[in-house]
Amino acid sequence: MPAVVEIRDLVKRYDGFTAVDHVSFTVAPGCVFALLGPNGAGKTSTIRVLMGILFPDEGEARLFGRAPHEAREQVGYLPEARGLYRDARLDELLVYLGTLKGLSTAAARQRAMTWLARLELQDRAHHKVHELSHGMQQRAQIAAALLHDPPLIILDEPFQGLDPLNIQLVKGLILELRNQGRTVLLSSHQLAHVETLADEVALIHKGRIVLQGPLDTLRRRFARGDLAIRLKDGAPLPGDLPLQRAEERNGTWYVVPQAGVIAREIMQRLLQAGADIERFEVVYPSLEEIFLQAVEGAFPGGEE
Amino acid sequence: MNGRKVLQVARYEYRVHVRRGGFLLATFGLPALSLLILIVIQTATGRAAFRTLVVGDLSRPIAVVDQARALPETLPSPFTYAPDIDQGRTGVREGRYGALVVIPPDYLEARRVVVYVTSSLTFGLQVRDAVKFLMAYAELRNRYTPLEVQRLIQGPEAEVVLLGVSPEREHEGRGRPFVGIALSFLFYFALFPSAGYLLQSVAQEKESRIMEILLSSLTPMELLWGKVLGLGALGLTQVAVWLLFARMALERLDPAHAFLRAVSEMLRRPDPQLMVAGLVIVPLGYLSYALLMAGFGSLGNNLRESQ
Repeated sequence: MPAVVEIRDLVKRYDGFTAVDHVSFTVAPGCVFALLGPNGAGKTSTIRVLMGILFPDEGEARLFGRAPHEAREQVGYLPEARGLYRDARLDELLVYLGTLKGLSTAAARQRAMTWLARLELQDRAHHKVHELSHGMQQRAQIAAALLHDPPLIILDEPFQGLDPLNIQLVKGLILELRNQGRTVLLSSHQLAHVETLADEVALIHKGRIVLQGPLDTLRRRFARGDLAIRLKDGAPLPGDLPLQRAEERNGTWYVVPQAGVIAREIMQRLLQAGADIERFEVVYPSLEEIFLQAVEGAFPGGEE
Repeated sequence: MNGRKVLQVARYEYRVHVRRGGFLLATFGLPALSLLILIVIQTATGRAAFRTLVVGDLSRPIAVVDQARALPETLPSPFTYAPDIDQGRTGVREGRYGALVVIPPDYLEARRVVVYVTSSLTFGLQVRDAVKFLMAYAELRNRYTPLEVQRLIQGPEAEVVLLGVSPEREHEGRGRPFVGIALSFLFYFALFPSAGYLLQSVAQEKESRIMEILLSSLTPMELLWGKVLGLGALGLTQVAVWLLFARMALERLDPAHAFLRAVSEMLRRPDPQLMVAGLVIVPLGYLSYALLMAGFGSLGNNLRESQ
C-alpha cells in the first residue's frame, strides 16, 4: 500500500540555522506515527513543510503521493501554534473552517454539531470563543481539524496545555481514529503520552532523525532484559538468583540478570525454589530511555 | 487559486465585520446624526413653517396692535388684531396668542416693532420670519398677494451653471466638479477604513494564532483576496447606506445651492462617465491601500505592533 506521508531528505534552514537536516520517513496508512523529540528538535518545521506552509530548502514532502498543497482537503491539522478567533461564535467558526475544507455549509454545520457533541462541547456551541476555558478551546480546535472527516490527521503537540482528563480524551480519540482506519501523524515532546498510542516512532534531535521504527521493535532492541518480579505477600527473592542488581519498590523487585542469563532461566529458578509468583514481566525501556540512548549513540558525548 | 474558497473567506470577513459596533455606528450612526442635525436646523430656522405661513401653519394666532396704522383691516392668517396692548399681553400669557406684535406710531421712521412672548424660546426664527413677512405685506399689499409677498421675501432660487468646454457639453459644468470631489471623499471615508480593517484582521489572525489553521486549508493568496473582497464589499455597503441617507436628507433640504442640486441630480440619475471613472479608480485605490495594510498587518506579531 502506498505511503500516506513520505518525506525524503528534507532540509529546512532559517537564516543559516538548519532546523531540519536530511530527514526522511514514511507513514503507512492506518497507523499512528509519532515524531518525537525535545522542543526545537525540528518537529514543527517538518510538519509545516508537510502542510505546505513552509517550503523545503532541499528534499521533498508528499501526501498521498502528491504535493502538500494538492492534498490539503485530505488532511486534518492541529498546529502547535494554535488559536481561534476570540470573538467568533464557536459553531459559526467551525462551519466556516469546514467550508474552507470543501464541505457545504449544511454538511459543515451538521458535522460541527456532531463533533461538538463528541467532544462534550455541544452546550457551548453558541458561545463565543473567549468565553470558553483553555481546555474547551483546545477541544474545539481538535473538532476543527476533524470536521471534514480527513483520512490523514496531523497533530502537532496535541497534549500541550491539556489537563489529565483532556489528555485521556485526546488519546482515546486518536485510538478511535486509528481503529477507523485513519492515519495519524503526531508530534510530541512529552514522550510518556505517546507510549501507549504510537505504532511507529521517529525520534528527532537537533534536526536529525536519530532512531525510527515500530515502537515494539525499538523496545525489544533497547531492552536490557530487566525484569519486574512480585512474590506473594511481598516475600523476598531467593538468594541464589543470577542477578547483577536487584531493587525493591513497593513490594516489586526490579532486577537486572547477569550477562547471558535470560528471563526463562530466572523463572525456572524461582519455580524450583517454590516461590509463589504474583507478577513476572520483562521490563521494556521507556521511550524516554530509548531516546536518551539513541541520542547518546547519534551524538556521542553531546557533540553535534 | 480556488475562487470558491476566496468567496468563503470574503463572506466570513463581511459577516464578522458588518456586525461590529464600530462599523454599525459609522454606517448608521454618523448619517443618522447628520440627518438629525439637518432636521433640527431646518426646524429651528423655520423655513418649512414660513413657506406655509399664509395658510395658517403656526399653532396659535399672532396678535397685532397697529399703532402706526400701517396694516390693512383684514390680516392674513395667522395674524389677528388684539383690542389693545394690555389685552394682547394677557392673551399671550394665557396662551391664546403665540405672540403679540406692537407696531409703534413711529414705525415708518424707526422701522422697529415690539414683540411680546412668554419665553425667549417662543420668539424663534419662525416668529421673526412671520413678523418680517407681516411688515413687508403691510407695505406691498396693494401690489401683491400674500403668497407673492412671501416669495419676494424668500428671494429667488439661483441655479449656478458652469459653462462646459463647448455648448454641447454645457450640462457637464453643472456642479459636477463638486460632486466628483464629494464622491471621492465619500469613497475615501468608506473604503479606506475597510483597508484598515484588513490590517486589523491579519494582525489579529497572527495574534490569535489561527493563521496556521487557515493556511492548512487555503493558500496565502486565497486568504488575502478573500479578505480584500469581503472588506471591500463592507466599504461599499457603507457607501450605499450613506448615499441613501444623503438622498433622504437632500429630499428634505431646499436644494437652492448648485452643489446640493447637482448631488441630488446625480443620486437620481447617476452620471455614466462618473460611474466608469469610479469603477476604475476606486477599486484600484482601495486595492493598493488594502494590500499595503495587509502587508503591515503581517509584519507585526500583534495588532499593536502592526499599527
